[in-house]
Amino acid sequence: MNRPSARVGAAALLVGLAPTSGLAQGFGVFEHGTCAMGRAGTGVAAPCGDGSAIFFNPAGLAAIDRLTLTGGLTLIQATGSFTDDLLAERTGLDNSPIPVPHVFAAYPLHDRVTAGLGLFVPYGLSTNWPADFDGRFNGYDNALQSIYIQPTVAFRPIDIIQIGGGLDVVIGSVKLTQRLDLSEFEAVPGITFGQLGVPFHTDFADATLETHGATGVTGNFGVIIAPHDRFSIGFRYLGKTTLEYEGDATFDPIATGIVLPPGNPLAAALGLDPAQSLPLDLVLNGADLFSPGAPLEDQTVHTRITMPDQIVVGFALRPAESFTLLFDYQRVNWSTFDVLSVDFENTLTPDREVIENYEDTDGFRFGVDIEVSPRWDVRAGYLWHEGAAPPQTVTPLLPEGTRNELTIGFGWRISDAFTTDVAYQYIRQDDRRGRVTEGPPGQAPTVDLNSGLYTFKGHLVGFTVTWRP
Amino acid sequence: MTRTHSTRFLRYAVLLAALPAIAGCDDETLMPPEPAGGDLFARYAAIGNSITAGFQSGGINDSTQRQSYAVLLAGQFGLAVGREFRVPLLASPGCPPPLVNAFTQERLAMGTAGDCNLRLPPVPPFLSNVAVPGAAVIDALTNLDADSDPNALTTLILGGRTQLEAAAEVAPTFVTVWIGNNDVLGSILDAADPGNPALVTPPATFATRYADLMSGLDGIGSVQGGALLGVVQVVGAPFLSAGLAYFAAAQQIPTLTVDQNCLEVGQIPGGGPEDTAVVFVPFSYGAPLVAQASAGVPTTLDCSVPQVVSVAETTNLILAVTQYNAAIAAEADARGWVFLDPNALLGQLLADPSAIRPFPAFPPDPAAVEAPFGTALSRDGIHPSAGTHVAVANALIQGINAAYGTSVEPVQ
Repeated sequence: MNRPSARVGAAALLVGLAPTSGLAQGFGVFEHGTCAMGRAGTGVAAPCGDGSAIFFNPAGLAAIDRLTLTGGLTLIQATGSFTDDLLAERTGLDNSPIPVPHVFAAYPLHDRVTAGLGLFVPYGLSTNWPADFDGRFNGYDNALQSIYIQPTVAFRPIDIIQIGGGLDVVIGSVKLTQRLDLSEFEAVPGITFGQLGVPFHTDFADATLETHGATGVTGNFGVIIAPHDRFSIGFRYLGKTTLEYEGDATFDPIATGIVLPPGNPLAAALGLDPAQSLPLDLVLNGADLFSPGAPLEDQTVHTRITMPDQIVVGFALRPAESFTLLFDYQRVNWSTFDVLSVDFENTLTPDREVIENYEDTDGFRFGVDIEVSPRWDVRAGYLWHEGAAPPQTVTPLLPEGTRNELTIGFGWRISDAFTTDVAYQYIRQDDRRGRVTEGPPGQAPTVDLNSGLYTFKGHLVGFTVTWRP
Repeated sequence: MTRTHSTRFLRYAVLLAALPAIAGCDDETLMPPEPAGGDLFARYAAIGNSITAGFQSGGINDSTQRQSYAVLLAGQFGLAVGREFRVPLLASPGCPPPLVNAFTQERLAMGTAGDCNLRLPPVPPFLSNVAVPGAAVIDALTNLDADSDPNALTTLILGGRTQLEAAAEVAPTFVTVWIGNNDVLGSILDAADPGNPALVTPPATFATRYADLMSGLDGIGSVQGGALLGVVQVVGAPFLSAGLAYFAAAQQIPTLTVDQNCLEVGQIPGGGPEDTAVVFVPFSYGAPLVAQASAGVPTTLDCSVPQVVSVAETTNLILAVTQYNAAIAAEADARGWVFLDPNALLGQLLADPSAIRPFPAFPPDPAAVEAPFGTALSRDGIHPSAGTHVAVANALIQGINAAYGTSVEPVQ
């Protein structure tokens, strides 16, 4: 029996590795400290004193005058759905609460120099759709983590200026699970099963890519200038880094259950008796697509994703002793994420380039931090930002868009040594049209592929403990 | 600032901040607008055979498919063809390529009857016109029954599904069903013995299968209305010509002799005095004889041979179709659906010699190559022309508007 070609089908794997997050533009995450989270992530000009300045502005670390150890967790509960145009059927996200940790340590080496170490996850995602979701061919069980470990040094050359910077060692992992659509798979060279009538979105394989341990290096630098004791401005830049992922691609066959009736042209093409009905699974099994050396054998796969650089500028104004207003502007250069390349080790499995064409994004954050008593702080904030995905790249993997977010938080100084912070953040994303399928291989997707509406909301709860012995 | 002032400011700040988030982010305008034709026509599926599929002139391709009455109807329902109404388009020149000359059997792009071009990529996410050329009623229900007669187009269009299964995937709100012609047409097209009663689905079997099909549609659960089209009296198709027509031709062709048995007439049981059955000669059998005689070779047409449809066979065909249509009409009545008898339209066309002209017509029509069987029929003498598809669509629209109180505009 002739072996169907794998040119298209296997290439469908990883058609959109772009991960999705619930938090910031693209697959960015910004909740790396509950104090800052309560005030909508503002603080580039006046970071919280819990060591989270290592992320929000390394220069702020210079204000820490004693050993500070901080650990916390942000739980993200994302809810979302896709409603298709044809039947108006709604499919909801199956996401469980996602924990995102943050750990910071800071120690003053000198009255003007502080060192620190931080661990945070500024880029990450997890999306789980039901396995029968129409978008399962783009991806239905996906996760991405980029853990940044950042040793940092900050100093204050003069009283009104703080400068800080850190080297980020980035450790990344990716998991993507998706179905392969037989209708896109070549039955014989140049002819897909779809051209032979096999229906759109016919599952015939489950594909999983899993990688761990990709590493990259970048830096995070910042400056804070405080010309007045009640006013400061800040700037920070987190560099981009490209992670080269190497991992395992595994393919598991799924029975189609399709029986082609007598007279089908596939039987003739394969040299079988056209007068007999033809179980399609018999053809696929006979083609031995999943065995060693075959196009869909389990194999090594390489890909690369650039974690974009980002710039934040802002100011902090303290009109009263216990009252601080904060504003941050953030730009993330998501345009670095323009093409996703996936390279399979097996030369029979075609490599793939997926055009993403993400766009740079702007975000605006407003926060307020009020010391309502010697032991209590109350914080609140609002932020707005654009989506990075262009209209033609809103997929199950990243159905993101413009968001309005509201935060509230509380800080409790339990003692001179212990502080706890809690915060809640509500995300409301504008509904956005998107797609659940890729276009023809080799062609850039267009908005004509959009076939439904994505909705997204998120609830975040953060909890952080800070110990200053 | 005092604590009181701070608290009040905080309250205002939170409320102010909340406004943009609370303000409308859900955007219903991003969903498709309400169906232009109303909820009844939100999703339309067409079940049928070659006519519904868009088969013309013995072939089918993406051009002829777009001329189907079902496609025209979808457009009048306000559905965007290619987006809200999807057709399994076949690459040109077709599967097989349509005839460009009925007499020479020349086909589009010099193709042959055995050529079959595949589906045009990309594969549409769903199908609305699920009709398959050659399908009889049972073929809409199953592809694998011993009585099923699937062909290459069954797979190319449905890919292993049945018409019923493919239609169900659209969750149609409105359906049209025009199937059953092949339960009798196969007998006509049997080259060895056209009219063979053994190839006609018994009316009781037909009724049972049709009822099963309708139950299947009922089972989808989304269907709000529909229209059922009756079976065409296939002896009215100009692919078949009455023996009388050959008798008349013989008057113009000295070398052609037509036996008297070609003029036999019989009364149809249960019919009126005008309901008669005659001998019919298939084009595929009679045309070569006429060509031979026209070339000066003495030729005799004997209508007693099996290749000619006898009076008894004609009677059987007519009675079968009559009973088929009674069963279809009953199914339509039971659901309050539209029943359209295409034979009324066929009768109107038969009255117009330019619309339907039996072979061999004399004097020869200068447009004989373009429309050898008249403007209403395509070049195979069986399948409607593009113009007749318009007429069918408009007849359906008239019936639908009357039955459902809608105001669907006719096709211009």
